[in-house]
Amino acid sequence: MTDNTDFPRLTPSDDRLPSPEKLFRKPEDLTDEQFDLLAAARAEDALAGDSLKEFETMLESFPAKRVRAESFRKVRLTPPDDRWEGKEKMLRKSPMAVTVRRTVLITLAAAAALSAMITLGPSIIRQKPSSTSLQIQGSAVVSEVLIPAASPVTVYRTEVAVEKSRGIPVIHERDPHTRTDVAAGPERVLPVTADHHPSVPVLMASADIHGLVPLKRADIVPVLTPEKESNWILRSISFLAGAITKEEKTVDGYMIANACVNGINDILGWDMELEEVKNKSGEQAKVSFSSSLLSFSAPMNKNQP
Amino acid sequence: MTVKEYNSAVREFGDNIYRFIYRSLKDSHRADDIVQDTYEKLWLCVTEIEYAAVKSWLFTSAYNRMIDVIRKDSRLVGLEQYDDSSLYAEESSADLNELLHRALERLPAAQRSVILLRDYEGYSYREISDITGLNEAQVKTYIFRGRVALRNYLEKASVWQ
Repeated sequence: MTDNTDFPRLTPSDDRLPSPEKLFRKPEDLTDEQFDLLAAARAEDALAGDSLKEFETMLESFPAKRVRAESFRKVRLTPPDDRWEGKEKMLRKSPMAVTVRRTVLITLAAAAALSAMITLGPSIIRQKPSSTSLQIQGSAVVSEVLIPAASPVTVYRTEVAVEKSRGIPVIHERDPHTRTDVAAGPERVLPVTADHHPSVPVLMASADIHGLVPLKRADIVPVLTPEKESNWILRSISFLAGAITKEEKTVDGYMIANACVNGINDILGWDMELEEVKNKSGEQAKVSFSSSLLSFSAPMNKNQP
Repeated sequence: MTVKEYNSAVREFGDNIYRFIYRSLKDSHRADDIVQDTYEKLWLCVTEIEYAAVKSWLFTSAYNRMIDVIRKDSRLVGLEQYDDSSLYAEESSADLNELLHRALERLPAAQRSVILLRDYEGYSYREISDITGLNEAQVKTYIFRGRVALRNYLEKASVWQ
């Protein structure tokens, strides 16, 4: 103990470890596990300074251990050629690309809608119920008669009006009791259409009409109906197609619509389908459209301009 | 990071992340899910991450996700459960790299991951430490012990007598 009573401290005694030599270790005393760990560290270049020097000294003394230590350098994995298949799914579009894509989509959709309208529009219009459904069909004779202004004109349906055996239209006289006297006055021109079909309306005019006589069927000359023409859009596209391909081409609405649908399928990977259904005579009868969202079928009227 | 850089990260590091996870789990479907989740997560914070740091971020995120999956499946084998006796060779005809990969499958997940990051990607101990959340001393210990286990496997497979 020190003499300083204010700060008393213990002075270490001169005690010594009896045999420290017993605790000293030599490199060859390392266990195999310890050696392997050091060898692995050496192979990783993780040993440095005195540690490395000491280990190298030991290896020089024991060549067998050097071989073992060197073998750790071969314990290295080579990356295999594993590929991630989902890579493309994770790619993102830039805002500009998204805008362009949307614009193209809208344009294509509009083109498809226009094509569908060209193809199916006339058929849909034709299907609309209207008074025109009662119009005289297949007119055989178109003529005009002069009818006095005072003469009443009545139009009604009757099978009696047609002489079925000969199929010749007949102009019936009105009931003599209801007959209206012809008055002096201006005459009027009335178109008269007659048909041999029993279901069509037959014009009944006043009995005072002079010059109207029953016709024989042989006398009826069918009026030539002008050939139906395709509308101006199809004519234009056909003309362009002919000019480009140098071949005579007739493009119809179905071809355009089908091309649009196929183009959209190719670009966007959709699965829309436009199918043309023909009748027994090989003419276009209807068009069927099907997609995951919408399916419909509409009859096609190829004669409708 | 821009969208272009994000896509570049998908193309450049996608295979590496997948390989790391797949070789760690030996399950291609789970690996695919984890890598997809990782990139979805990256996309959510794409503007906050610099491209220079994205590879490390991807590996860290994928590693953490993988650990979650392993824990959920109760398949995590801790280092204390490591059993060297399981490293028995099945055949000695395979080449060295194939044998090493077979041996790798028998290592505990932590050792396997750090060795994969070291050998496949060439990461430093510090980088591996950042990715795995282990300290550098742990990383070194896992790698050295893993190497010893791999070497012992090869020895038992009669590659080295």
